[in-house]
Amino acid sequence: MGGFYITKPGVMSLLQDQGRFGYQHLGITTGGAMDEHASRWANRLLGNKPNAVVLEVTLGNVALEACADTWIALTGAELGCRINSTPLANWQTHFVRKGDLITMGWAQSGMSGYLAVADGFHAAPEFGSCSTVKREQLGGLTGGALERGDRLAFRSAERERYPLKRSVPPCFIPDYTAELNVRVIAGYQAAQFHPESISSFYASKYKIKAESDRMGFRLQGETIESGITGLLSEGISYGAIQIPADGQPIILLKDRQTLGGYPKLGTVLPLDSFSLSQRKAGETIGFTEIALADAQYLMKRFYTFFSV
Amino acid sequence: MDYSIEVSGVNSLLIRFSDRADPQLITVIGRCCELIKQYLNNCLIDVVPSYTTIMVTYDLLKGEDEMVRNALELAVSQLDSNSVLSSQVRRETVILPVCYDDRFAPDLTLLSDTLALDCDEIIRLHSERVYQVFAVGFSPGFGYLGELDPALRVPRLSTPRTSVPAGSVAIAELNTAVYPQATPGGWWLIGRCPIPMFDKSRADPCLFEVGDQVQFQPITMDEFHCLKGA
Repeated sequence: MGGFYITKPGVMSLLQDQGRFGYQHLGITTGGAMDEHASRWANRLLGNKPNAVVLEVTLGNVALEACADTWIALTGAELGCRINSTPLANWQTHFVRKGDLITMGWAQSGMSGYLAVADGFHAAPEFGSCSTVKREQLGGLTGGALERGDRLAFRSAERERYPLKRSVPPCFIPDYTAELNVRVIAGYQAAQFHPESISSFYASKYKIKAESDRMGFRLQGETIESGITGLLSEGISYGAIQIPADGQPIILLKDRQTLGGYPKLGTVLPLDSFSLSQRKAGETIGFTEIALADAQYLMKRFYTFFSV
Repeated sequence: MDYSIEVSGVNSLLIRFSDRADPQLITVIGRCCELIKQYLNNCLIDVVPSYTTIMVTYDLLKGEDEMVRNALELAVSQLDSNSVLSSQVRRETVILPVCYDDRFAPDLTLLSDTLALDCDEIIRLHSERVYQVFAVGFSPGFGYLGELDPALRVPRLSTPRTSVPAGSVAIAELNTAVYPQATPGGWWLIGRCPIPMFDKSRADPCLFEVGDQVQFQPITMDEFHCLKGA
């Protein structure tokens, strides 16, 4: 069995697949790759199964030593990845030889870079998934982020396995520095909010706060008053837009708590939640409404594309 | 049965039965979840019941919005039938041993002063009642059990603890709970349970689900250590 030996683990480097499903009724969150667009492309470039385990590197500063030959794919945040000091193009596959040192600098654009390996990394699934959720100590190698000295196991692959390098067509490579307009599916308590609150939400720009993390992105901007009180805790879906008492929206992402009692005015189109996860603190975003049928069409197209 | 179905995401619907929690409703909700799982078996991702709602997430490539809505409506329509009401109790009551010793109950004395009740009386009121599981969440295996005897109701602590030991038995507002993991917490600690609430190595990692019934059984410190060691 081949592997990468971690010589520099970085700020937060996590093994992720597409998430842990079917256990939210026990309070177990889904977790999963923050940016499915980038993580699914990484697996697709290598012809992996869509749910193969990838390495999600947030903010960068990572070094890995290859203990066997293999192919990798790099997608997501631009981390200035190199093999033995030779720069590697992002959104592309690369052959890695035994003994090579792969290094990643600090994220130049985006937040999370993905490194996939031919056939995916090997890890023991917990509740059907290898996704690491630190808060729940589930998934990954030991339920937490990678540490110096860890070994990420994979089955080695020969150079001949892929005749050519493969790369993502430029039209599918997002610009993480572009201002994001987040599409919202109205729902939950939307009809009970003051109509003026809803219109001011869609008319305003919000800044991403530094306290944002895998659980949720916290926003700062126009205060939204829901006028709703006494809500009992209820299920929270991926991308739910929660309005707590201070009126500053929180968008709940992959490591969200399964239940919450704050009013919600809808959910973000998952494609835009993926893009949001690549935005840095201090950047601004806006919101527009999307019809449910249009949102479903876009997501079906996305999942169909990545399931073949 | 009165209910509404709300959109809770691109592939998610939420059934809302009421705005008020009620022990009878939560049993019905537990039953409704079973029916939903039967009807939508092949396209379900998650079914999350809580107090007065059920959130259903489905696979967009396997289920259409309208088909899922119809299945949810069918499940709810079955709830009025007698067969459901007669099979309300799905499982036996889960008995959780609790040691109420002072060493495990840092808030019991203050609670006794606040409520003007003897500690023994608090323990009696807490352990006599059969509770319903209203929700499981906050952290894996954290069950919101209710409702507490009216004499035991207190607001949350004004300053939450940064870490509550795993197994702590606590009360706040209408609910009681056992903390499955060491987490921050703002509830009053009145005892400790030696059985892990959440254990990923068990066939049933969680001891209960929404709609189940739970009762606490007082035990001594010796019994606690005996059970803890077992």
